[in-house]
Amino acid sequence: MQVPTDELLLEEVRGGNTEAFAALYRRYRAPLFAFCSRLTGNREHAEDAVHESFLKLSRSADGIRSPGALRTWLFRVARNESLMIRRQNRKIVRLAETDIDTPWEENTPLTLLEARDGAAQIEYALLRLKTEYREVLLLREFEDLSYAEIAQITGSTPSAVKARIFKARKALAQKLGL
Amino acid sequence: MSCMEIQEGISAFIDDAVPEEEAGSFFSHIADCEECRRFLQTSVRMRGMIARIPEPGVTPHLDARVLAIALPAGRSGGKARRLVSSLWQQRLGVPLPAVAAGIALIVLSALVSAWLWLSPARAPEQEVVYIFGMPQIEVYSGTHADAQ
Repeated sequence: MQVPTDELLLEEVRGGNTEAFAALYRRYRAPLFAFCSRLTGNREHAEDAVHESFLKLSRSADGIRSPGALRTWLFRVARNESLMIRRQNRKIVRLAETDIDTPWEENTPLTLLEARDGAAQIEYALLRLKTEYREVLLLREFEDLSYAEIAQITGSTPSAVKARIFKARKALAQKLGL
Repeated sequence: MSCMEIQEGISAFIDDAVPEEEAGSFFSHIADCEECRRFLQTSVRMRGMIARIPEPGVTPHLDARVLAIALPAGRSGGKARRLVSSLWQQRLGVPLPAVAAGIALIVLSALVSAWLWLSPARAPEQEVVYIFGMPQIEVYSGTHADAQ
């Protein structure tokens, strides 16, 4: 059976087909949730970001100019939602006058000492990277996106993405003590 | 080219963002430069470590939230139930009605057991005590009136 393309499914969503909407959600829920989860460091915030992204898809399906690049569109929206949710959360944390520097520390049971195996160690190190470094590295390493696609998602240029990924790798190596 | 420029090029090379012919200059530099060689090794090693990070699982709660978006207001919940049910089946391979029936059966058994246990009409338990040399004595666990 031939798998329907994003373009076809989006066309169906525009026509009000709920099954097509569910099919697009099934296709992108796991990578989008993983990306948002690693970007915010918080599963609840990631859920909110993915929910908002699909809410925008249902409302703005007609306005997506290049249906062939739906993946990039979804990741861009999810990235912006994640960053906004994180900013809002930081404000709440500041208002509560707590001394938490980063919102994820509260919800991540890891510390560098507890991170015994390599996967947990690198996950924790990724969370400690600057957001501008973390987002490009996540999109490159987990989603295998090109520099041009990452530039579209982050509102940057391919050459800037190239430089940021390099700096991200240097920073990550330093945090891992490699 | 400086070592920083070379390393930025190496970083792009491992991302397949540098043409082969351009990459040649990086490798001739790496052959003589310990620092840049270490950067290449570290980058490749980190890539392997990142690949081993497990993917966080999506919760059924998110499925229900997002699929509720797809439904126009005022429409029956049947469609949403079907969509959530199909996602459930895709993940666990167990049909949602079968799980619901199993849970209902467990709850029903628990209720029947509780009713039987708490029923006031239960007959007093009777025990027979044998003592050699004595006539047979019947012992009732309830009150004297119950035994009558």
